[in-house]
Amino acid sequence: MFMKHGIVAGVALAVSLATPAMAKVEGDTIILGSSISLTGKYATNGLHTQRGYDYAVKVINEAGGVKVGGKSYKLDVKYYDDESTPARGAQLAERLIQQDGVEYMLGPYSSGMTKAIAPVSEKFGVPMVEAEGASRSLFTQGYKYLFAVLSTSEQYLATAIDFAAEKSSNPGDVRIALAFEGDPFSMDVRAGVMDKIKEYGMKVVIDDQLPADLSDMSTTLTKVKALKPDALIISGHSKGAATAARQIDEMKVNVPMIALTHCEAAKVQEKFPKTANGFLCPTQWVETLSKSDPMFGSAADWNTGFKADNPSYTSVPYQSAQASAAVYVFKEAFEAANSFDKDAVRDAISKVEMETFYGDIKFSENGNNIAKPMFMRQIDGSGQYKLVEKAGDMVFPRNVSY
Amino acid sequence: MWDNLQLLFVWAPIINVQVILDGIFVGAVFALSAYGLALVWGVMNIKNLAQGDFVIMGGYMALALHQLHVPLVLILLIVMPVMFMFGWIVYVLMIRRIIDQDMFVSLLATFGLSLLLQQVMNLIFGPEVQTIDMELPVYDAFDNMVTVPSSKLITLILAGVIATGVIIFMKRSRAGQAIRATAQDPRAARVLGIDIDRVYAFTFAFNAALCGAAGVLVSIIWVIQPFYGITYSVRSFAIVTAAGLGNLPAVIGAGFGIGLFEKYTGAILGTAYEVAAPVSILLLVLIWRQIQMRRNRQVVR
Amino acid sequence: MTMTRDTKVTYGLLALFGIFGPILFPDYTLSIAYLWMMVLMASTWDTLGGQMGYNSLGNITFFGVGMYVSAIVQITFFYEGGVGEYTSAMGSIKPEFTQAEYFWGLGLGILAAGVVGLVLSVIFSSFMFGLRGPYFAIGSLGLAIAVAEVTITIDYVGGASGISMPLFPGDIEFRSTFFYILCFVLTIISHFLLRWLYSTQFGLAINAIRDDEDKAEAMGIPTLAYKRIGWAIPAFFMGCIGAVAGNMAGFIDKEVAYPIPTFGIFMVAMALLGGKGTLWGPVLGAIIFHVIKEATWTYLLNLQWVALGLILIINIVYFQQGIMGWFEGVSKSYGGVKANVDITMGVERGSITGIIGPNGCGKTTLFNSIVGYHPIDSGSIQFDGQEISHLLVGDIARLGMLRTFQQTRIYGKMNCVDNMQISVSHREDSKFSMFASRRGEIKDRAEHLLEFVGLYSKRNLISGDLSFGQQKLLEFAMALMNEPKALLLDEPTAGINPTLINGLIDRLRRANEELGITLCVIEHNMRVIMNLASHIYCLANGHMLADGTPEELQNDQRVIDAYLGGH
Repeated sequence: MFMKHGIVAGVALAVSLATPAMAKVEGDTIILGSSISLTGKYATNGLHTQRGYDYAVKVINEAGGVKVGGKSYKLDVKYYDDESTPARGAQLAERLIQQDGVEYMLGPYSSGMTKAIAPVSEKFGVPMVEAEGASRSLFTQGYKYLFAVLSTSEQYLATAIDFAAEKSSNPGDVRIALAFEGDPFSMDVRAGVMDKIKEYGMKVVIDDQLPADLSDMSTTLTKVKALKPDALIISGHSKGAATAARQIDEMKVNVPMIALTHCEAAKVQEKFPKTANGFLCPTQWVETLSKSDPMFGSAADWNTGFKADNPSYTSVPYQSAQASAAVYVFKEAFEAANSFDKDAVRDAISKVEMETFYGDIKFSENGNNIAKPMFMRQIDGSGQYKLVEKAGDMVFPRNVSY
Repeated sequence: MWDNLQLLFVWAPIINVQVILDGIFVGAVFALSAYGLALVWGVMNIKNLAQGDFVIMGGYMALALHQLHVPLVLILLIVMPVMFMFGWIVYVLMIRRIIDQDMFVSLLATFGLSLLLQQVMNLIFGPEVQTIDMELPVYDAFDNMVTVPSSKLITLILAGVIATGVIIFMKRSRAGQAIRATAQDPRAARVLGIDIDRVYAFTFAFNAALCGAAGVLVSIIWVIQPFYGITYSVRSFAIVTAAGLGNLPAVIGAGFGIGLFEKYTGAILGTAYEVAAPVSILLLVLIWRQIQMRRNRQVVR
Repeated sequence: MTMTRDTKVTYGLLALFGIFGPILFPDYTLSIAYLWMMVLMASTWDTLGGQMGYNSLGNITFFGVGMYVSAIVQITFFYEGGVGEYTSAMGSIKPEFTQAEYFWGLGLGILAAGVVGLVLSVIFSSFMFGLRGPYFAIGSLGLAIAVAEVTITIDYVGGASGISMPLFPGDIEFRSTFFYILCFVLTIISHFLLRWLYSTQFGLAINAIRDDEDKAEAMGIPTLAYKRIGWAIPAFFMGCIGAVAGNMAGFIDKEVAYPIPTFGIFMVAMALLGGKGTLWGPVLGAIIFHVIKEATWTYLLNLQWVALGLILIINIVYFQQGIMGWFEGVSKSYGGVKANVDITMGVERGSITGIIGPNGCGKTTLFNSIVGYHPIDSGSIQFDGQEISHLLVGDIARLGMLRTFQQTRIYGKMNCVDNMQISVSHREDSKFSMFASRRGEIKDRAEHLLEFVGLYSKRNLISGDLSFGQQKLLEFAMALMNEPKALLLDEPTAGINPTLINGLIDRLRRANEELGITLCVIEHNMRVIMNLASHIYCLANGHMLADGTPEELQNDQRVIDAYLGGH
């Protein structure tokens, strides 16, 4: 019996020794921490993000790393897998900060995950530059240590409503169908869309919420066919985009305008070239952007370099680009602060004002990037993304023959 | 909800046809994996939580074969035996040792298997959402209000063929009889010289093959990802619980019933409730059965 | 509550760890807090699952509901606009709580969460406890999924967008310590409450429910009341810890509140790993599971589910008693009476041999040992010149030695002919004969044998509808169908109408003479056995008392004494 109880106590003690402590800066390496979704429903985009981080770290290290106090440091990222569950993400963030001694964080994937992690980094006063949490509510909490390089999510699909209004003689007559996944990101996208719809006095004919683990949205599309709205607006991460593209084709849904998020991440142009023709896809970044920086070169240069490292992409999702940009922000901040003190780094981040391949980056008081616009692109008949800057550039109505 | 009802029954009643068709397509695929579960549950008392992951596995195999331009029927003919062998190996390595244990042992062991399979599939195939696009024509009717993609029709036909094959197999073959006998009384079967171990192994492998077939069909008509298995597991359990064990017609009926219920719930209450629908049916059936059993002074076990 | 020295030492060590762990390793404070949370989840799960045998997969429901209830309470009481305004702003409101407001709110929140969990469990009890075994497990899983899906459609609690919890007012170091203390104290309270409960009548009653609920009911135990309490306790604690976990997470939505595929199942795995149905098993299991999980997440990134899956499988497949089983298994003796000691007997080929003896003398056990149900400790069993003591039931059956049961075992839902057809010999089976189709001659033989036992007219009836005697005859015919070389019959005449007995004796004899089957018969009916057998063995108390021809035994004083209870 004593052995049994001995084991209880022994094992309990082992808990504390199970994970090694790591310093924020080890020798000549700066360690950034990130809990990212490598398994679970966000794994697709988690991987896009991780690849973006890794590519930036590689490029920066090859270019001589980060210079602080006259010395060069390499960057490294300590990853944990949050399994696409926010509770785990928060727990892992605490673990990165407390046990691994990480003092600079890169964000996770998705707004929900960022919402869970931001209170943690905030509590510990650890600066976090995130690239994948776009929900507006992240930037109304008064977080001092949260910085986002991307545009906020209400902007994703609001432009599509503007386009629909412009294309109509009387915006008040426009009928809109909405299908949004039940998660914090999509709900915020929806809020942005709803604001615009109210502004124009449009009519919402369908407002469906898609469950997180749904691989069939045929009932929503059946209603769309029956009600024939003027525009169909969808948001549901990669799975939502893939499912929608697949079933819009099968059900011959003929709506003049279809706008959805995550086209590139789900590779709809590649997998469903016929249906995807005419999809409007909001993007945080385009590879034809005429912005550049000394580290990654132009947007096109980054795109070429990233593809060379990750040959599986035909069209690089913006999730990877903004992840690289987040790492780049840290490099600039370290060098500007010329210190590893996390508050000095935090202040340096808040003062960052730079042009990058990803676009201009300048943070507001609340931590969101206010210098960079969102873009809207349309997929053409050959599976290429074409930038749509005004309603006139858009092919309308969508030109598909099923 | 009022709008949806009006839409369904007043403004455009023709879309009922579409909803019913979709329900049938959904039901056909669910019925396959559910029947496999009913078999392993009924015959060897194993509750396989990795059921959905077997389905997804079949889907990924189909995807890999499709990329090699293997025709659909051949894909089925390859995936089913491969999954059969896989099932047999799983049986030998783990299921054999947990057969006589209480139910929780099998639930947890197969949950472990499910975790393992998810991540292995993630490592092999990547986490991307995938699908097979057969690029087949889509039929439409009633002024394009009802569309039937040939891929779904083919799926339905294949599901029907497989189900018929299974019914004939269970009725006519020695293996089918041995499985049924074992399900009724394994001890008696053993005494009479039926090789129980082989019957069990066969049953489990057979279930894996059925799931594999369902997976092929899923990858043709919907989308797959390494972590989507749980949905199919939950639905299989809901169907089997509603239908009872070992009764193929009832399982098929319940499959269609749940498919239709799910689609109508989606059409009337909104898509948000589609996942909750099979679960609520499960709960209702369980409660209903309790009320019935209570009259007989029995409990549901 | 009395404790052994070892137990005191264990508590001492755990208390030392609980108190000094976070002081010595301050960076690990929250990790250890999560550890206690796991211990609480696994221990309280075990009350219902391990101790009472109702394996719930839905305890996580109370965790999630508790989280939301606590959020509602904390915001309603201490934020002027109330929950509706707070959530409809989708996180754009950031109320500042004073220390007093925060701690009062949290305290009330935890209590309310526990009470709501308890009430919810009582409601669930009203329609869940008519379910047994797997149906209860799956039903409770369904409940968890349903509650989670319903939660995200309620805009009042933030719907799919979730709720941000009030920020902790104190400084960051104190926050960790504070939540650590909450987790630790809740775990201690739950542990000692359970410890006390298990030592009371309640503990006995829930164990009785687990082992044989029908019997327990028949004995007059109010099982439903016990079951309600048995679920209310875990529900209360899951609600409380959910409230704490929600405040630790800072932001809650469906995924945070109802982690069904992770914690929902992990807590069961932890209890099983340690050994369910014991006080210490879940504690130990939770600690080990948590450590392994954290370690795999650190060292095996991208393979962690593979590792965890393998650990679960290996643990469950190979160590089903849990870790506690390793320690208690060896100290427990099997305690049973050795039924058969040193019996030597031979059955001549082609003969009819009888075995007699008083009740409980080990006749059936002997049969079970011969045909492979029970392992034998030593000695030898030979059949047809082959050692069979190591063979399994199926192997022995295929060698040609079959047995029938005292209580008949037939396939009650099939008709007689089907029962017969499935009973053909599998001696010449090859790998592929499983897939062979039925042959006509088998059906002919089946009908012939049914005629032989006098069941031809009933051949198409469902066998479960036959009378007990007829079922025995059917079972006998099924055994003959198998073309055995030897047939071991356990009380073939028990329960048979006396008028049928002579016919049965006749058929047994004919089977022996015409079909050349060696018979070995256990029989209580002296008249039957004396008529039938050519050689009889008499067992008593697991020993061979005497053997010989019927005449010799009838005159043996030892046999007479044994039957009359003379010693």
